[in-house]
Amino acid sequence: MASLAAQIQFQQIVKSYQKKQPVFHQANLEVRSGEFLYLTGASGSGKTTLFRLLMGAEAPDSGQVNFAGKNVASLKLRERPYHLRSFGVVFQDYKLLPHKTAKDNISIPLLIKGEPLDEVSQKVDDLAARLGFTHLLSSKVASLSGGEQQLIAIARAYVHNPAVILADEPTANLDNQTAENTLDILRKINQGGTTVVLATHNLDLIKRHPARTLLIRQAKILEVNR
Amino acid sequence: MNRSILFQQVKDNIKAHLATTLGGLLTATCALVLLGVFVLVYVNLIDITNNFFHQSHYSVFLKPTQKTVDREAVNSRIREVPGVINIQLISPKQSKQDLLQSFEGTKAVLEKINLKNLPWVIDFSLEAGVELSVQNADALSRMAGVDELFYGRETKDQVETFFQIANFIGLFLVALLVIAILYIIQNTIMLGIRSRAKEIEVLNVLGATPSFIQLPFLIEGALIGIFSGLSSLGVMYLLYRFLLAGVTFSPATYGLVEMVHFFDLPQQLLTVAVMAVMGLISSGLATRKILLDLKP
Repeated sequence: MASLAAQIQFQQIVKSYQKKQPVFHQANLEVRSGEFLYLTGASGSGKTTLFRLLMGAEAPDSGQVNFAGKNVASLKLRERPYHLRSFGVVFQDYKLLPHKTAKDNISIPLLIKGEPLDEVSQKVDDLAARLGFTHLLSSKVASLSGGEQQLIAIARAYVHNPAVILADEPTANLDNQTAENTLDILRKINQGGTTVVLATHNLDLIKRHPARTLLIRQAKILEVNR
Repeated sequence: MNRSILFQQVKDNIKAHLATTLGGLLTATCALVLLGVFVLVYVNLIDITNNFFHQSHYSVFLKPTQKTVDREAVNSRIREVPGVINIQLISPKQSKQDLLQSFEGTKAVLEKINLKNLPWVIDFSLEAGVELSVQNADALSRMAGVDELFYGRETKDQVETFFQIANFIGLFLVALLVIAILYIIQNTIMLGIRSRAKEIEVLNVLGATPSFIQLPFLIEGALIGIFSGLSSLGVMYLLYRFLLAGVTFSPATYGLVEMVHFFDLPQQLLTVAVMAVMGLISSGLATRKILLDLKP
């Protein structure tokens, strides 16, 4: 949500799984509200872990993850769902509910927030009109193409106006044209003031649409360009 | 959560694993029918027994050699017993007439038996809740001219022992079946959760509260409980009517019709309410574990 000041801060984060090499070692990061940034790095470098740390699904071994000025690790169990509502997550495998229609899928975050049904319907219709996929709303997700499903997944991530959109390899399974369209939509969303963090391997995409890029290498978060 | 969304979720849950839900419902119904039949038989047995022992009946059999004076003495002694009612002096002639009247069909056979030596009998009853004390029973038994005092104490003791054993078995059976029902509903819900694991994961990531995820499953559990309660009551009622039809068909057991009864309305409502609570508990247990394991 543009009105919520998104501020992501990783301070001296150390994170490792069992006895393996640490994923992060003394890693730092700061993202201001309304930024668009790419997150890149080799497979298994820690892009998803970064998202999970931010969402509170993982706790760092040491250091502190702050979101909007609040230490994520200090959140109580009952506060966690509300913390998660500050994010819109776009998954590589979409994580849509195939037996439901596109509209039902997009409505979920609003229903979770407890918004009235008529408002939910109106908001989904408006968003579909803005992003140009009104014709898909009544289709079952299972019958849609990969690109269309990704569009629905982005709409679901954005419909409740989150402070940050975390997109985990959203273009990985898409052809070039669809990947460009997906990026356009995320850019459009960012122009509305929503912070977008896009994890990707697609360096061509980054070259064609340059923006602040972070590289995770050797357990550090490095600035590639700014 | 919006009510229509909640019921839509419940509908989706049931639709997603309809066969499992119906299987769970059927198994819970069977377990409940077993439990219900036991309770029904037990409650009716208690009622019939209480009815039977409502008034205590006693018979003093006099010796053939007894004299009128002995009879009068015994009669007077009986009158002194606390709570005594309906004292009846039955002569051998009266005894014979009663016997022939009771066994009308076998009158010809009885006529051939020597019924001349029937004894004098003094029958009496005590008010409800009053029992003949051991002292009075001994005193009556030892009186001149008294052959035997028959007061069915042994029968009553046997019945009481039977109920003590039945109580123990009943408690065990009730506990066993209650656990079975909880387990059946819990497993039904667990299967439902597994079939919707992906959806639960998505809801969790999107910021759904535990109650948002849990509530549809709780309602599903309560519904399984309610419907298995209702269907088991239906099955038991059919069984009851069927047995009653058999009982009324036989003249020997016709009298039982007045004594046996089905669960009354408050008991039926209580059964359904208890089943709803059991459904809630079972699904609460089933969903608790998955909610604890959830991470975004």
